[in-house]
Amino acid sequence: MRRLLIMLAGVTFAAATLAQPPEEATEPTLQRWQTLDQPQSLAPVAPARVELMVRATPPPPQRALEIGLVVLDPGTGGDSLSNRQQGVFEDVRSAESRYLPFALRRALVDSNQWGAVRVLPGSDPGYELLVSGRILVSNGAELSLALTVRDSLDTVWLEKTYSMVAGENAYLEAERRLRRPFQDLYHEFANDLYQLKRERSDAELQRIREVSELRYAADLLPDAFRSYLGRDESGLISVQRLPARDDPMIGRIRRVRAQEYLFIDTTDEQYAELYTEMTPVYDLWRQYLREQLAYRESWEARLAERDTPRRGSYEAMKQTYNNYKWEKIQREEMRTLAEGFDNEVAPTAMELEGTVVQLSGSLDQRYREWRDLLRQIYQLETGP
Amino acid sequence: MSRPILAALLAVLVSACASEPEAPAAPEQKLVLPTPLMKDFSGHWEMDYGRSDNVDRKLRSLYREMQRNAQRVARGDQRSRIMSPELVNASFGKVVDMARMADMITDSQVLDIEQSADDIEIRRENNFTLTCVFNDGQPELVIDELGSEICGWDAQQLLFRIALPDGLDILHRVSMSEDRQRLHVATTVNRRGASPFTLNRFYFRFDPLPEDYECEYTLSRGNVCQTGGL
Repeated sequence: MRRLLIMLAGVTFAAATLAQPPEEATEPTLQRWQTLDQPQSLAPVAPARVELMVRATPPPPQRALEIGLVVLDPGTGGDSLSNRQQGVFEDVRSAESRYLPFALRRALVDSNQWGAVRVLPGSDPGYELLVSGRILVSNGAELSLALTVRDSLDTVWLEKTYSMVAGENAYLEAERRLRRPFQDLYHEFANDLYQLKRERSDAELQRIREVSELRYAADLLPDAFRSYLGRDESGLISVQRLPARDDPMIGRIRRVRAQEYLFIDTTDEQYAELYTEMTPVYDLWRQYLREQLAYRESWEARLAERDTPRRGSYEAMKQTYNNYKWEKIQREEMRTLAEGFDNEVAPTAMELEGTVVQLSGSLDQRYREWRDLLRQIYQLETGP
Repeated sequence: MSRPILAALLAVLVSACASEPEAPAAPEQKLVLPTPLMKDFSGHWEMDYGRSDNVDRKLRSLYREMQRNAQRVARGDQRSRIMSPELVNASFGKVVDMARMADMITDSQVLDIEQSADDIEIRRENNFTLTCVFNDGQPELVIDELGSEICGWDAQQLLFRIALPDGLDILHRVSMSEDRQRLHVATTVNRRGASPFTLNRFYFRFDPLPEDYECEYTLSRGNVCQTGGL
């Protein structure tokens, strides 16, 4: 088996190397193949694994777009009752909506194909690349995310639903050490995004960066920068003219933005902390969910095989009642697990929530002060 | 479902229960419940076997009553075949099935009830929890794949109705004595083509041993307990 794994690792290595563009030297992630002393029965030899395309060195500055991942829509649009009936627990989803962007962020950072990748508490349309999305399914056995990626020009790079079914051993500790549950989904997304970047020239990426900066500036000082941007006939943002390279206002805008990034990086650390603390509990939660689903399937199969008792008989009524009773007990069990999950995760999440709110407030305040200051400078420079 | 329809549904349920041939409880067992409308059922309750219905005794009594009815009908109309002994036995067979169902559904010896101004949870040993959200007095209807539930207040009594496939219908009527020491759960099992059967279960309040620690369930560590509250 060990030899087979090494052979597979070799094939994987070759396939991953061939998949890379010649101008961007890459190497595949080999960490999971280096841990080979697993029991044979647990050895992961799944054929459809998605290897992350990884650059050996950081990308050149002109291709290092910055990415913002907005906290996901938890997908709990229905009322509490219908969510409960569908096995969707709002508190768990709320935690997942912050956890999953960080999982995607990790894949993007690990790929070494991008500039800074940040998880954002809210949307920022001026970002060079902005990832937003919604959790469609998350039940331990399956994860399905509807993701959209837009650049600062408002061009949609990607609008796709990513779905994956967890393997039978996905939650075994030995397997988790090799590969996080649903890691292939995160890899697939990161690889797709990388492929889309490959299709764009340096000049196109440069335009995205310019527009991003101008959108940020126009948001901060609309009077000064609105005229630099327009919309073309297809509704996309276009640059009407560019400020001078030594424009002092642009220099100030960049300093403000750097301040903003400092704040966002601090909130990002909080998301990282949430990710680390939540991971073991979240794995357990998803494992329980998966086991419950598997048990339910086998129970339904057994039920289908059973002889149907005479209608109206005691046996028939008992079966009808027990089906209902089993369903209700299952839901109660799920709710207990969800409460256990919340009891462990909630303090961190609340702390995170508190910090984010505090930081956002502070950020807004700084923004306002900076904007006032910049407007004053602007008025002084241009005259009344 | 609109409020008038729900109210009508509950009214039908109440009248259906009231028109049953069986008395829900012996006169001395009848609970006198005061106003106000909503009662607080919170607490731990243990089955009182002495006061609760004995299914076998109740069935024997029912069988004798059915036989007497059949004899009366036969005396009044010799041509009638409606209540022949065979039909009495067949009809009684259905009653026995309903009684067994009622017995099975209500075999929880212990009930733990948590109630707030907004909702109630009746945790039943070896059975699923009955829950009801009060919705400002408006009955709550929950429709599932395998059945539907409606619950709400009927004066001082709390009603849970569960409608299951094949016309199986279960009604729990929960009430409490004036001194708040006894709980009465009257469960009626009904099915199209069969006579309804009501089983009365009585519970007395008990206080579990006081605990000097509080526990909180966590996913990775199970119950985490500590003294002096969490």
